Amino acid sequence: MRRGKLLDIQVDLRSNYVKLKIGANIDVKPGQFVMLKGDWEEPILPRPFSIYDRDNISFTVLMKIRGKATRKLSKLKIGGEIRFKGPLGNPYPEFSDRMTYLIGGGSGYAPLHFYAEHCPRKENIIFFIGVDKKDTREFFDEVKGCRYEWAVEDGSSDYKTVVDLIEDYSFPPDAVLIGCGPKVVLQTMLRIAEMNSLEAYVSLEEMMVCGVGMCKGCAVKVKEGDRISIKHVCKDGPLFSVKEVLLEW
Amino acid sequence: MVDIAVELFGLRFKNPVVLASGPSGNGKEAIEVFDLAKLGGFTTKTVTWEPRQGNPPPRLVEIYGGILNSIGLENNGIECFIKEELPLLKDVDTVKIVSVGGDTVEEFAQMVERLNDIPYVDVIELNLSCPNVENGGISFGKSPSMVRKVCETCKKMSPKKPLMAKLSSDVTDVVEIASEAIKGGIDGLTLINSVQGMRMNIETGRPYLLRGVGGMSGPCIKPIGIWNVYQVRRAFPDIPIIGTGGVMNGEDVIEYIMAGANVVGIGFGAIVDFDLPYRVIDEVKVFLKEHKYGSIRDLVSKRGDIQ
Ligand SMILES: Cc1cc2nc3c(=O)[nH]c(=O)nc-3n(C[C@H](O)[C@H](O)[C@H](O)COP(=O)(O)OP(=O)(O)OC[C@H]3O[C@@H](n4cnc5c(N)ncnc54)[C@H](O)[C@@H]3O)c2cc1C
Ligand SMILES: Cc1cc2nc3c(=O)[nH]c(=O)nc-3n(C[C@H](O)[C@H](O)[C@H](O)COP(=O)(O)O)c2cc1C
Ligand code: FES
Repeated sequence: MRRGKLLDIQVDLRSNYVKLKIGANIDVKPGQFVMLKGDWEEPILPRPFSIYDRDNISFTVLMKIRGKATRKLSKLKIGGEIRFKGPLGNPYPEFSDRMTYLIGGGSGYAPLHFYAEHCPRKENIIFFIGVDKKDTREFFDEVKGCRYEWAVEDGSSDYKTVVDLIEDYSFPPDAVLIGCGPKVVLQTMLRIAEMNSLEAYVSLEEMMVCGVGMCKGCAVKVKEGDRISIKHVCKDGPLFSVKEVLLEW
Repeated sequence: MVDIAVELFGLRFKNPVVLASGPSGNGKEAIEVFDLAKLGGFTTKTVTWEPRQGNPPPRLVEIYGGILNSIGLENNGIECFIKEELPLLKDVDTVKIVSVGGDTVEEFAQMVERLNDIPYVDVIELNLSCPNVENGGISFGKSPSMVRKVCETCKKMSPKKPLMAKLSSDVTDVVEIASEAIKGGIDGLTLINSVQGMRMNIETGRPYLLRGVGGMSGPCIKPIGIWNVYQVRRAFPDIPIIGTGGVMNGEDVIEYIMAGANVVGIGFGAIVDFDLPYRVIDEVKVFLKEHKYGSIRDLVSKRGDIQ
């Protein structure tokens, strides 16, 4: 695994989110991810995180504190060592001339943020983002020039969930939808895209060890015409077209 | 200069480290990720007669000191493997071990027959120990008579190529199973496969893996691997053994060799950290040098009596 020093860490204990800025120059494109691990024996597996931001000397991840590894990562000190492999996975496709709706819940915002930052035509980007509370919304940086619609579960905005937001919205026929977040959000997107014949993509998550397609751990079922086959989130994804993906086995 | 090469079946392993079957796939990705020519050998993921989709996810969960997996031998089947996947390894300068898994004795035999004709396949490994399939796998590997039958039948199909059997530790007496494999004409043994286990999700009251049971890999199983290798070596002083299970560093390799292994397999460790196999090889060299062993053979000759 490669090594990098932690250049900066922002912990927001109200929202339970962390930004980790890691000193390593990696050639990473929006949608790709890395697998991170601190200099410890346990937990033994590196954890996958999408890239939230990058520059020539570093990359940043936006991480929700969930369990053992994220808690430990959130307690690292600046200068501390991080091991990582990546960039892994495929970049999201670009659609600069079409209205692109970036739909996300919680930490699913991370890859969408990086995607929008790299998009040459920000006026074509509309975010639909769901978070649990106002603090989270404030911790998430907005990309200048893009439009944002927020759903906040604590009631501090008009909509409570991103599912409600997108169910209420009428997407133009040539819209592209890209979603990353909880399964219910992706399922709703699938339904909306199917009903309105929209082009849509969802970013999937499965347990990963190798991150490069060798171990067959992160399998998903896809349909190509009538054929059902197996793909792997790390190597073939993480983004899949709603036309091919089957969210249930 | 220490010499870490190992000779087995008349084949030269540049060093005692091989990649174990499964975690690092069938070679397609591994040739991009690893410099396989720096390793003693590469074992391809178990291939089956028909293509297999594997088990529904979740197929993996972390445990203390490793993982549990229930992949279920996902692969494209022997035809596709021989035509499209295996040829990628043809010119790779390392010992090539191809692992096969059948639902029936006939399937094992047919696959061995097919592989027998391929000159660059150095060794064939019979997977008699996969914990994640309904037929074949461990259900064969638990039965001494089945193990003997599979080995006998396959040896007939491939009298010249070295044939190994990969055994499980989830049996009453590994020495009895090994003994039947040897009577069946097997040339070597790989010990051990992943160890059956389960992890419950205490929020849902269900096992984490959809299939329930899985196989444990990683440092948590190393003592089981060592003990199995040791018992078989004690009973059979000359049978070639690839010791596998939980190897994460050079000392683990030395430990396996001292327990009786000729060569050592790495599964989990190599896919968590792709640099780990080379580091392990370097650490083996350093150990030999520091302990004034000139070669692996030297190390083996000085290990304590296995009794
Ligand atoms: C491609 C991909 C990109 C991701 N990007 C982000 C991101 O940008 N920001 C973010 O906050 N989270 C992201 N995640 C989720 C993140 O990996 C998990 O939240 C993290 O692994 C939790 O680890 P833990 O030890 O804190 O929690 P644990 O209690 O150990 O695990 C909680 C849950 O996290 C998931 N998880 C744990 N280990 C792994 C693993 N090795 N591989 C895959 N999933 C695992 C499992 O669903 C598990 O049930 C991403 C996941 C994937 C697959
Ligand atoms: C994801 C995964 C897939 C595996 N697939 C196979 C397989 O196809 N055939 C096989 O003989 N063993 C398979 N194994 C078992 C390993 O080859 C090895 O015997 C076991 O994991 C113990 O070694 P380790 O602790 O170094 O991983 C697999 C293990 C893992 C973790
Ligand atoms: S994580 Fe190993 S195949 Fe995807």
